[in-house]
Amino acid sequence: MNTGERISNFQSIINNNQTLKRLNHLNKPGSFPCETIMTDERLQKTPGLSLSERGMVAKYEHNGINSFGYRGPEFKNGNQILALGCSQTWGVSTKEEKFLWPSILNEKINFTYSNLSVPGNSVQSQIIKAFQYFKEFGNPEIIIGVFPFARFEFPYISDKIIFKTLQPEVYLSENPNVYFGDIYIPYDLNKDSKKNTFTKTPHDMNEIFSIEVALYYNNVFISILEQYCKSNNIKFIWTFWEPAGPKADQLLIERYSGYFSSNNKQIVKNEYFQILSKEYESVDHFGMAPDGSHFGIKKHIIMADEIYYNLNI
Amino acid sequence: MNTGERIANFQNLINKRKKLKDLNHLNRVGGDGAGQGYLVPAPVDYKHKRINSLGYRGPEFSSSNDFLFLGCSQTWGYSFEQEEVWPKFLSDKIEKTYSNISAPGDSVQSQVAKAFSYFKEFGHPKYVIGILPFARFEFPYISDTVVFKSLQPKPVFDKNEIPKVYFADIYIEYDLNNTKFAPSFSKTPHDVREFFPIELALYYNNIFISILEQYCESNNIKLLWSFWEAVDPVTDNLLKEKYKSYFSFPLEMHNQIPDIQTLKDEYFKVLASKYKMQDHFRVAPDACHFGTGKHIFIADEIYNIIKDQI
Repeated sequence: MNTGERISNFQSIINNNQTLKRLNHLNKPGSFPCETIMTDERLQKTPGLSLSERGMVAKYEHNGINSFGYRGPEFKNGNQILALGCSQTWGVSTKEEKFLWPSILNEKINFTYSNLSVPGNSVQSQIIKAFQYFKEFGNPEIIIGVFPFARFEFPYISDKIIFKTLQPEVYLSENPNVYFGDIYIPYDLNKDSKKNTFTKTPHDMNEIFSIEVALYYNNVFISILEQYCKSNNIKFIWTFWEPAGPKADQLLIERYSGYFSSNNKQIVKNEYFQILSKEYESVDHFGMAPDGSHFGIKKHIIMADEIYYNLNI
Repeated sequence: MNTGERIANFQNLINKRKKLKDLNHLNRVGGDGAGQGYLVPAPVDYKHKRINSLGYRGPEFSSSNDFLFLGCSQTWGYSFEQEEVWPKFLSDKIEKTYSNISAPGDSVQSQVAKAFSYFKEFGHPKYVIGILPFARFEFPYISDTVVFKSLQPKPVFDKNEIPKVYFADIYIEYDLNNTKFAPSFSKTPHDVREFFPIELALYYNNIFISILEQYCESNNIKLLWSFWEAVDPVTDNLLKEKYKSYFSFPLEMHNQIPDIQTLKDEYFKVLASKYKMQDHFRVAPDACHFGTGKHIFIADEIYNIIKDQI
């Protein structure tokens, strides 16, 4: 394939992925409706399923998937809140959508909402989706982001750059050789196990990219969204659910008027959320989601409380 | 250095780059604020007049300026002593005020990021017009991990202001099947040019343009843009399908300066006749950037698109 063909093929793929529905990897070939519970045996037999989906999404039942394949109410023009995030906000392994912070917050303030979060997403891929949402559904009144920290969105090109754990043969049936994904960049690239001195084609981005690449693009995209919100009179508040460290936290507060720190918050401030917390205390998975790695109900309540406090409405 | 310190140090550098002035690499240590001292050695070989107080080329930025121009070294007018570039030629014709935030070496991504900083600092122009490069990618140069070897970042490190980190745009080779640019092995610190495929730049080009297009639409700003590098006809059509703000140049313009009689507007025909008699009509003094002829053709093409709206 010559360079001209390669470029036009790629542009064609970009053009075909421009709607919110297409931007959601859970809707792509090889994926399946998230309501389906997959046994380990079925998972092994299901072709075209990435590792992350096998482990994090497919094994559990998830209700409240809308017609666009996102979790929560149907998207519509006029929804007041737009929630952004990754698997934490999407609620991987938590069956009931009502236990997630966007829904919990909505119960308190009674604002309609859309939830754009997607498992595995980075700051960048969520803000890309947010701009597509503005295009398809107009501007919300409020945007709330609970983001991951160290991920980078990139096109996986099978002969050049890859992310080995993605196992993207899943998607090749539709778009040969190209997949759009987020890599998780290890915090500590000084560890030999994460950073090899030599890499070989196709290069594994996880071995090469430093955390600064993700942080750099996080900052660029957040600044852009902040300016968009300011110019369109949208209230925008956001945080990282991963700890950035006290010094970086302070620097983020200095730089971004919409940033709030949610690190290590354990105390629920508002009485409504205190009562809710008591009520759900005896529910399974209050402390931790069923998969043992995502937010339990308690953390979703703490997040909703913290957001409510920072929304100041 | 532990990871927490590393993150905080990096965020500290980002925080220092809030303003348009700080985002302009020509203003950094090693630069002299007048288009000289660029990391790639060539700019110091030429004089460049008409640098504004923020280190950009052209008039002072002002919240009342009608047009905002985006681009790379082509739009900046690299190696031209005077500001003999399409933003100047176009604004002379339409008699509108303008700001030019183009910077040598910049990518689509870094120009769109600067445009958002401009909106924040100076508000909204009526028009945004970009003549952008095609295959570049903006990334942080981290000396122990990812680098761009031909950047020669020593001038920055010598002054010790920003140790080990530099923000840059790389030019990604079109043809990564050429093993000269894509060796099978890469060694730490990895040279990003050896393994970034062109698709990475194209992907982020599309993202940033989409975001800018949505921003302009929501704020009633007219956006018009093109690539100055030739894209093949199939891609050209795909870009037209996706972006209503995209326009393309006649393919022959990419390889040569067409006959000046093919210019659409009389004003630019006269201008081209004048410049044709002077040096550097076909190519800039550095022998690789646009000559004044090409700048006039670009201004004419843009004028032809916007003349009924201004």
